[in-house]
Amino acid sequence: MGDSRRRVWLCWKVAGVSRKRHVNRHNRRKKLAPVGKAAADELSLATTAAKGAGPRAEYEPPRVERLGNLRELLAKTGAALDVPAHHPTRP
Amino acid sequence: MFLRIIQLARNNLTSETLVALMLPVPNAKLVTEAEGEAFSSRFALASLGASSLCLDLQTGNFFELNATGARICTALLDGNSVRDVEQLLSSEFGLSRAEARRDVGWAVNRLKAQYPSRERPRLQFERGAERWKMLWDGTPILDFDPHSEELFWLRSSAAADEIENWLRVALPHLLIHRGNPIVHASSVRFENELVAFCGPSGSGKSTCARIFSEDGAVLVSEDLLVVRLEAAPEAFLASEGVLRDWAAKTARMVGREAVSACLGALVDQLCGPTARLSQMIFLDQNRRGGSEIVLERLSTPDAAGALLENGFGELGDRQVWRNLLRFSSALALQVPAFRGTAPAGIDPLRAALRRYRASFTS
Repeated sequence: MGDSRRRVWLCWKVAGVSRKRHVNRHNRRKKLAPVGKAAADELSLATTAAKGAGPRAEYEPPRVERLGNLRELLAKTGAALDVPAHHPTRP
Repeated sequence: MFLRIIQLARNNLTSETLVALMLPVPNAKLVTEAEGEAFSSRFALASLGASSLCLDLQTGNFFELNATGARICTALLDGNSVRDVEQLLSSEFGLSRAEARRDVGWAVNRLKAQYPSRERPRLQFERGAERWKMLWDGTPILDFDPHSEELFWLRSSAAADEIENWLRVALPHLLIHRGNPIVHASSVRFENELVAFCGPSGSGKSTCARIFSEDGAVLVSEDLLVVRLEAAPEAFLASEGVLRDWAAKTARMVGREAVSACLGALVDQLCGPTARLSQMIFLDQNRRGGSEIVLERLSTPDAAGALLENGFGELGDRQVWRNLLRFSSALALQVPAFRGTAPAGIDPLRAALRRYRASFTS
C-alpha cells in the first residue's frame, strides 16, 4: 500500500509540468502583471506564517524626553500657596 | 522566560486608551545588583495613547516616552531584568543583541540620570516615623498623623484666621494623600459645563473667573476644585465651600491638643451636584500681552505635565506622586487643555474675556 502511494506521488512529480514551461506568449502578460497590494500583503503574510514567524513591528528607537521635575516645578510655581491673606484678588 | 517574552511581545501598548498606572509587582527583582533600587519601585508609568509619561518617584523627574521607550519601561516595571528586556526587543523587532543592548541601556540611563535641581520649595513636608511635618521656609507649622488623621499645631500662638489659612494650605495635600483628586484651579460654570483656570498664585486665574462671574457665569471655585474621575471628569460644585468650612471649624479647635481632621467625613460632605469639566486653561504670569485671549492647545503629555506642575506634590511621598501622575494623566487624556495668553491689566483683560466668552458661547 505504502509503495503504491509512493509510486503515484513520484509519477505525479514526474508528470507535473514546471511553472517555467507553462508560461507561453498567451499567458505571459498575465504572469508578469503586478500583483495588487492587498494580494501582495496577503501573500507576504501567508509566506511568513508558513515559516512560523509573525510580522515584525516597525522599530523606532526609544525616545525619552525629560519634561520637568516635580520638585523644581513646585519650587518655581509655589503651588498651594493661595493663602487668602496673600491673595491679591481676595477681599 | 521564552513564553514570558512572547507574552510581552503580544501586548500592544500603543492601542491603550485608558491610563494604566503600572504598580510594582510584589516580588519584583532588582534590575541588576549594581543599580540599587528596583526599577519597579522607583518609577511609575502612565500611558497617554501614542506616548507615555514616566515619573521617577525618587527624584521627581518626569519624562515623555515614545512607544519603544514605554515598552522598555513597562517590561522593567514588570520586574524583568535589563537582559530580559534586551531579549524582548531583539525578538520582537528583529534587532541584533548589540543594538538592543545599546537602546535599552540608553533609555535606562536617561531615566536614571541625576539632573541638577535648582531651587527648593518654600513649602515643604518632612516625613517622621509616624507623622508629617509641614514647614514654611524651614519653620514647622503643623504635624499630621496620616493613620489617626490627627493634627497638631506647632507654633507657639496664632489667631484662628492664621491657623485657618495654614489649614487651607495643608488640606489639598492631605486629600491627595488619601487619593482624592484635587486641582489647583479657579473655575466658572456655563450651563452645565465647567471651565477651569489653572496656574500658580498671581497667574490671573481667580481674576479671570471673577470677571466671568460678573458677566453671568457661576463662580464655582477660586483655588481648589475637587474632581471625580468618571467616564467624563466632573467637579463637585460645592467643594470649595465645604473645604473652607472645614478649615474654619478645625482652626477653632486646633491648639495645644491634637485634633482629629476627620477627613473621611469631609470627603463624604464633598459629594453633591457636579458639572462636567469641559476645558482647562493654564495661565502664567509671564504670558501676558496682546489684546485678545489666545489659547494654544496642549498635547496630552504637556497637559499632564502642566497638571503635575499645579498639583499638590510637596508632600513628596511616593504614593502622593503616584496619585498625582494618575489624576494628571486621566484628566489630560479626557479634558482639552490649553495654554492661555491674556492681556495685561484688568480693563483690557475684561474686554478680551467678554469677546472670548461671546465666541465660546456662540
